Amino acid sequence: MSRDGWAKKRANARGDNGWGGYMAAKVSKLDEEFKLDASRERQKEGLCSNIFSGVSIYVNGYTEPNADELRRLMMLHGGQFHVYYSRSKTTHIIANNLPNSKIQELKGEKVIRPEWITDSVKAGCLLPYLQYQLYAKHKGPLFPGMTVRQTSEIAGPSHGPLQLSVHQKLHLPQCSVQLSVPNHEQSSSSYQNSTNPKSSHNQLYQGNVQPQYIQHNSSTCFEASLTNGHTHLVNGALKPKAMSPVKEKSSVDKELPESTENQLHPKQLQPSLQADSWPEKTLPSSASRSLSHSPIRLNGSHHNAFSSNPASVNSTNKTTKPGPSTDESTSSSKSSAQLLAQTGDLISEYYTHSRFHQISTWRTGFSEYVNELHSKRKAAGGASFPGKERLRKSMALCSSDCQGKKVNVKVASCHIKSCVLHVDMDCFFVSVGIRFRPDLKGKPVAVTSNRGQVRVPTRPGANPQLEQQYYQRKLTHTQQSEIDLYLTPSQESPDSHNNGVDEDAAALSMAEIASCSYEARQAGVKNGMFFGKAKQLCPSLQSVPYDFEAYKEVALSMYEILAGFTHDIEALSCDEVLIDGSTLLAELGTHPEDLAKAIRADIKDKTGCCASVGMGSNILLARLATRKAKPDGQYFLKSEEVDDFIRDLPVTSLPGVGPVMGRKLSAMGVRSCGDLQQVSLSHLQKKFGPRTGQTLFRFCRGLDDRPVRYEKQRKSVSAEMNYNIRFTRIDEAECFLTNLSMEVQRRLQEAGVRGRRVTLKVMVRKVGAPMEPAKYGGHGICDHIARTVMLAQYTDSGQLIATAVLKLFHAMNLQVQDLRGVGIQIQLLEGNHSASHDPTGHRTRSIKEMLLGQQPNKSPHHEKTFSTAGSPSGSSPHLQSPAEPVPGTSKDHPTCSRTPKHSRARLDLSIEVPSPSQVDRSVLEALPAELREQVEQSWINRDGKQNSQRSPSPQPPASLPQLPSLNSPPRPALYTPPVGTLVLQIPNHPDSPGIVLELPNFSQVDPDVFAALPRELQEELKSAYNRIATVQPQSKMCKSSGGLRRYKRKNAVSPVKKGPSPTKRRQTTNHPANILPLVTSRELINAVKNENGPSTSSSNKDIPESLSNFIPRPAPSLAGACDLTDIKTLLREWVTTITDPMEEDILQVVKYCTDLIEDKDLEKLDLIIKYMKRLMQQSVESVWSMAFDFILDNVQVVVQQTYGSTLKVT
Amino acid sequence: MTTLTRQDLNFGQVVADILCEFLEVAIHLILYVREVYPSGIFQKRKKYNVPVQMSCHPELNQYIQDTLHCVKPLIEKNDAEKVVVVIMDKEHHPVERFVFEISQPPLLSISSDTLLSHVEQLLRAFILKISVCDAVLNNNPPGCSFTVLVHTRDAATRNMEKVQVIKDFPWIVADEQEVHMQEPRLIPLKTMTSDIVKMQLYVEERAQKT
Repeated sequence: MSRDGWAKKRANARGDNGWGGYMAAKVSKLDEEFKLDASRERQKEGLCSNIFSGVSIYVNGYTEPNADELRRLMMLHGGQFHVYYSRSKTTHIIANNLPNSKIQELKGEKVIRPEWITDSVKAGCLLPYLQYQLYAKHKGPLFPGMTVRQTSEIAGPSHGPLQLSVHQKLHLPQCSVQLSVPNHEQSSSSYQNSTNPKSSHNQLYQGNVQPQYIQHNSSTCFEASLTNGHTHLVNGALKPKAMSPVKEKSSVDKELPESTENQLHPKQLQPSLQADSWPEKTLPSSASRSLSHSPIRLNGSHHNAFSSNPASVNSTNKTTKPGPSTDESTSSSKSSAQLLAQTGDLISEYYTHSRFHQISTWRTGFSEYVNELHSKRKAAGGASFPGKERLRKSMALCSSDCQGKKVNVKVASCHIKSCVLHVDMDCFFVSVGIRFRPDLKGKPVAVTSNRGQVRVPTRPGANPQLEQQYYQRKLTHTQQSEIDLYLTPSQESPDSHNNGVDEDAAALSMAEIASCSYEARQAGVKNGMFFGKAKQLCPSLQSVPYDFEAYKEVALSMYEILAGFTHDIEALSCDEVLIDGSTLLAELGTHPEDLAKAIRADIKDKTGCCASVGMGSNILLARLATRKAKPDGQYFLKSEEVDDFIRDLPVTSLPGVGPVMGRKLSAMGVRSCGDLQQVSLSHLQKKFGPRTGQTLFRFCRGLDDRPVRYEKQRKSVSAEMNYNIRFTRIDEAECFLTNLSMEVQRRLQEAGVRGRRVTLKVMVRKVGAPMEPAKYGGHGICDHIARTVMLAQYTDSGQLIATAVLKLFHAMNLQVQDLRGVGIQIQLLEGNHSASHDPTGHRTRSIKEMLLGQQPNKSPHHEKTFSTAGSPSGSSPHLQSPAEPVPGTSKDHPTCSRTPKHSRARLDLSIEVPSPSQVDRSVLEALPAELREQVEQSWINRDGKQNSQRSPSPQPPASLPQLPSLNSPPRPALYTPPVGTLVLQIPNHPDSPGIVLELPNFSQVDPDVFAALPRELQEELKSAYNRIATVQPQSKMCKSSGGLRRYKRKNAVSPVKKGPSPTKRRQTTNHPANILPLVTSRELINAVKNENGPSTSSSNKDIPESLSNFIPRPAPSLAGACDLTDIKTLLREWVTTITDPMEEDILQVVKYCTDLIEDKDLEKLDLIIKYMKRLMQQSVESVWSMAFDFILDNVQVVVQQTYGSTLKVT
Repeated sequence: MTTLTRQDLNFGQVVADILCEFLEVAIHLILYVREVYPSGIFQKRKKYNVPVQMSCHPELNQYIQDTLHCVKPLIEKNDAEKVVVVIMDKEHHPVERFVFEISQPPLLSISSDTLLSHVEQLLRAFILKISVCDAVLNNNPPGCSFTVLVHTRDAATRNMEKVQVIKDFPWIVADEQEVHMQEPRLIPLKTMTSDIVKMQLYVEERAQKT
């Protein structure tokens, strides 16, 4: 029974619901076995009873006595024992201790301590189970607490707890014994406290597959003993036994085969484990090795990124693995700078080698191309349209042929007010691939990276079956609910290795099919399918390699042809274009069908590939018509046909309706657009948010008012990588994020935009998923997590983004080992006008330039970046590159001329502590004596430490003396948030807006200095700090102890700041301000807040606010604001300025509210809800009150889950 | 400036003392505001610099004191998650629950006396909120009684039964009937966040009280 181990039991506890016949058959078989064993056991023992008749137990986790013993007892005394938990059949769950998740899972079930059974046997009758309940029923589902009441009556049973404490004592010696055994795995992880040589096998195995248990393990020894059932079985001999001799004998009998099996168990699993983790376990000297192991792994994956051939990489990877000791010394001494460079290389290699990435960027390129056409036409005053002329000529010919017909056509065209053509190449990659291979025409063909072989060797650690099952379940699963992973039995039990079918599946090629021909589609092959699977479906499937040059060529000629007709083109992708044909058709007087025919003929002629054209009165209809037109056809959806046409379409054919929304809709009983038309707008908006609901409402009626835009505003800029992401240490991930941020910076600059909202998306290996996905370097089964933060200002600085992203990343608190994909997205873009003449980020002006392999991402400074990074100087490259001035660091440049491209509107001068030469002596003398001393002190300090690093910058026209203690502390610029700026007006210089000062953190403000400041200055500072407090609550985080620690670590990661860059004049001295105790800064905050005059809220509200900043956990914040008044302001602005709230904004508010609930700040939540209620229900727009209802509904659900009751909203 | 951390034995005791003192005041006030006992048995006192009502019925006072005496060790060890004052109708079904949800920050420390005065301010705010909470609550049916429940974290109850703080005054597991409330509605009253403790008070009220 426990032969199959925990995995099965676990899987079953969760996944009892759906694996159909197999499980049912197995369970009944087990029941039969049990019956047989029971009769045998009864004969053997002689003494038996029926006290447990009607009782069916299920043993969960480790118990005392163990499951075997309990099973035997149940046999002897007429009970039932279930190996698999079944909600309907199992009457009692036996457990000694349960983790929190299980308690929640088993809420409402009878969870009883095993003593119940032993005591019942002793007593000879079935005792009431109540007093043996492990946990009393409790109300709040989140809190596994126990509700007790104070009373003066006599105590309840003290029997259970006593038993338990005995039980605990029994465990203590065991643990100590285990600890005293020489331990190979000292370095492995947190669960070492309960390992001995044997059990480490089991635990490592568990660690590989079920990492969430590791966390449990680390908490207490007691829990560890629960989760590692095997450990105890193996160590049965160590366990002191308090049983009767008879029982002991039998249990030992039982345990012997068990323990041997458990030793075998991991070995059977060997193939599924990572090959590299095995030698470590068997070698006694592995402690040092596993320490040095992590860099090696990175090395391996690093190599992989360079090579385009997975097979060869595999082999190199393997060769490095057996000899880790050779790499040991070098890899363990790898500096963080090298790490930075490595991960940086990874990114740039990924993006230069990823052809798909290139193709996806083509769209932007083609949009640029169309833009360029427009600007050219404007410049030239007109343009030639060869295609249009030809069409006109042919029309003239045609009209001379048949006069009457032309009249008809003319009449028809007069009716068409607007016409959109949607041109789409037919299976683009395939048709381009077989252009010059007529032999493949009409045959099932698929474009894939696979070289034709169907089988590939399975890599260790991978579990393709599991993944395939997961994907399949995901497809078939109608509900949205979390799909639990379960391990297939074949992974566990030895007999299933003979299972041929499964092995086949495991060995199938995982290369994805990028495109397949219509012949192949008929056989059931789909785009995105794995090649191995497709080959099974369609054995005659031919594979064609990628030919990126040809794709470029064909796409370019297609665009050229279309540009020959009109310039009203919207590039959708490299093979898909929207044309606004309205003006063209009106001008020519032709019918859309003729235009489409001409376009298709031209494309077929020039490229040899087929295109389909769909036409309709708007974009939606044109796209839908294309579906009907395919393959190689055209279809004009007349406005009178629209209703009939759209009614029968499945909802999923509407753009924007993906599988998820499709499932949601079908849960509502909506399958076709006709069904959707029956749903009211308000219902849709309630269900999907105001915007999406509206869109759905219109789309299902064939309405679409989106114009064909030849110039598309970018909404977001992002960089993502989900291939080959394997980190072993947190600083690797940090470096990677930093580098990815720089990639985002590059893209932002290329697009000439700056953004405010930063989203970090990560893919984390789903709990229970195999360590190695089936696809080489792939991400496997993942959970997707995204976190968003709003920056204080628009930026394109990679450093600022990196800072924000790292904060988000730390807040997520993930296991870096489980990261499988990382992405950074920047939204809320605004145009950066200076970018057009930015020398580094020049835009690709011509499509030819772009297609001819002009890689703008390979701009020179990037080359430099990675070459310098490898040098032992340890300095960060992107900071040295002068071509990338960044606002975040601009405070280091005393003159504005240094950063002309990125100067912010207000930014004229930004000053740290200016060097003595830059300070007007008279002003300095006018300062209070104390202040002056401080300034001079700081100069002395600097002179002592950084003589050579003085900036040779020219003296600014007007420089003000600085507040030394406010400015001097060293903060690494790379991680410095724009904490805030102070704008000083200079009366003598009306043309200059003022001086912008970077403000340091509060903790770095010397209160004495602050007090010594002139009154006006104090006021200014206070207001400036208040601004910071509103915009950047996170910046305060670094004042807490945790934050400081992180800051130090980061500092170590980026030794950049101490680099020899002439522009860096950072002080590394320990200025008095640095060692100020936190208390003073805290007092200062209060002082500032209290002096801030009448605030709208009561004074005792402010104090908890300021104090809460010192709690390591970030306070929940809405778009960066966490103070109640700020949030109210934000909400008011939102509601009053916007008439149509965006769905994501609403979700943000909901998120914030749920954060408040999690943060146990119901008071604030209540106030905010009430405020929103007032605001939104007063609003004239009905959308707002709907939005409020939506928010309230969601909040109530969470409150209900957390507290078991709903908020009373009056 | 002395700094106490949780490692110091004193720390937990200090927090527990402060909280239990506050809870005693709060329970008295709740009993007065919610009219569980006739107002004649209450006297006006001053605590946290605000007027509060305190019962002068010796047995009631003794009961409250004993109860809190038993709560204290739990708070000291950070085992108590919620302290709940339940007001029950004649049938012993709860009509109102005043829930003090207590969580103590894991790492932080007390560092100066000024902070404790902050805490006093915060607690005063709680008291004031309680004294006006009848504005947001519906009236209770006549003949109510009260009880104090403690929701403990994890396995704290095991130790609780071993160590009886007061002889013959043990904890017992609450009846489901006394814990479960039909259609509860939640009214947040006050939240405080300080260095030593994070506490929020909310009332759960039965929708239909009569």
